[in-house]
Amino acid sequence: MASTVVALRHQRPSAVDDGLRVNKPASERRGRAWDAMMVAAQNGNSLAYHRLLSQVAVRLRAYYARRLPQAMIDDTIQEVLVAIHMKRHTYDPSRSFEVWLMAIARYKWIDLLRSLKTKATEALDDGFPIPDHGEAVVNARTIDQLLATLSRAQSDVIRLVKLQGLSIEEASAVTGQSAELVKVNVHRGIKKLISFLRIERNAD
Amino acid sequence: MQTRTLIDHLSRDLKPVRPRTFFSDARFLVILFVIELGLYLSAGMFRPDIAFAIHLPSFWWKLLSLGLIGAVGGTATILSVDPTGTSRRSLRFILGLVAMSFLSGWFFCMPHWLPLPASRLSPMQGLHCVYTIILLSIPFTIGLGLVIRRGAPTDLEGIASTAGIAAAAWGAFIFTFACPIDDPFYIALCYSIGCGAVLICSRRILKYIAHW
Repeated sequence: MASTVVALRHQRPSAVDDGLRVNKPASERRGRAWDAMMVAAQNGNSLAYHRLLSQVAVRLRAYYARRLPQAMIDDTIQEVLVAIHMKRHTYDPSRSFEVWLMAIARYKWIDLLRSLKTKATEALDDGFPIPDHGEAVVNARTIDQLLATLSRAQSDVIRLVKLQGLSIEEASAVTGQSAELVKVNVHRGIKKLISFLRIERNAD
Repeated sequence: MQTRTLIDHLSRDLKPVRPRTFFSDARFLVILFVIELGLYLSAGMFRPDIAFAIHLPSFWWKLLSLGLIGAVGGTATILSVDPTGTSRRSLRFILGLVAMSFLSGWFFCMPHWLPLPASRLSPMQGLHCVYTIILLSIPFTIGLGLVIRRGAPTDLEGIASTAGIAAAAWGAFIFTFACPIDDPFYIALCYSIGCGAVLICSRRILKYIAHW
């Protein structure tokens, strides 16, 4: 029976693969810190729990940013945080908290998509007044094209800090870059964008 | 509500929790199994010729096959209540075990298999057999439902299936001590119908219980 248990334990999907591409040693450090904070939370340490949930919320925002419409992200993050709270006794301290977290995040995401299928939608009248988002869409597309000219590390931090309004520390936690590196990458990225735009203007 | 307010609310007055472990769930299910088996046998449900039956290969065949399927199904269910777990591979493994059980039954009890006249089926006894297996599976279905509810499964259909198979196998295992028929053909057919009925019902119910 023990061998069956061991064999069945090896059937874990790598849910963490669904997350952001991050700097490996930094993410390992963060993973170990999260493991320790969750163990402390299971023992009733509310300070560690508060800190953990705050960091997890940032991580979840980045995870859902590519998977859900903007309007749904906050609700889904809150649903996952409540789920973590309700099921915190199911976290096994001998295993990675991040894998456990991403499995829950993925489950809630799929659950939300399933529920959208069954929810009735109402068709809007043709004359329904809506603001014109044309300009915003063109701007967003232009920014995407500009950011594509930068390196991955630079475009990630500019997107997080300058467009999504995260602090340097929060962006550092999401990307795995150090706070100093985030600052340097933002500065260099913007400088590169400015020079790129100057060249374009001169060419025109 | 803002996310920050929710985090403040959740972390305020945090109570310590005891982490769920494989062994705590397994212990609960084993105790449930022992209690039901004890109650069933102490109520005098032994078949009258049990001393003779223990010398029959078909008796050991059904006992070992059902015990193994029940144990593997229960183990797979407990492992799948973890959010990172999935039951897909376990289900394939259990399917293989069921096929192996039929094959081993054919091999060890071969002289008793042929010929296969319909008269060997004994419909009334068969109905009683199916009915009893379903009844005996109910406590396990409830027990597995409690384990699933306390956990955080993410593969709902898979865990409902493994739990249904485990409950059916355990119910049939207990019934083995009372079942007076040793015809392998009858056992294969009637037990499959009984276990199949339990699996279909449990799967539907447990899928909803597992949702969180």
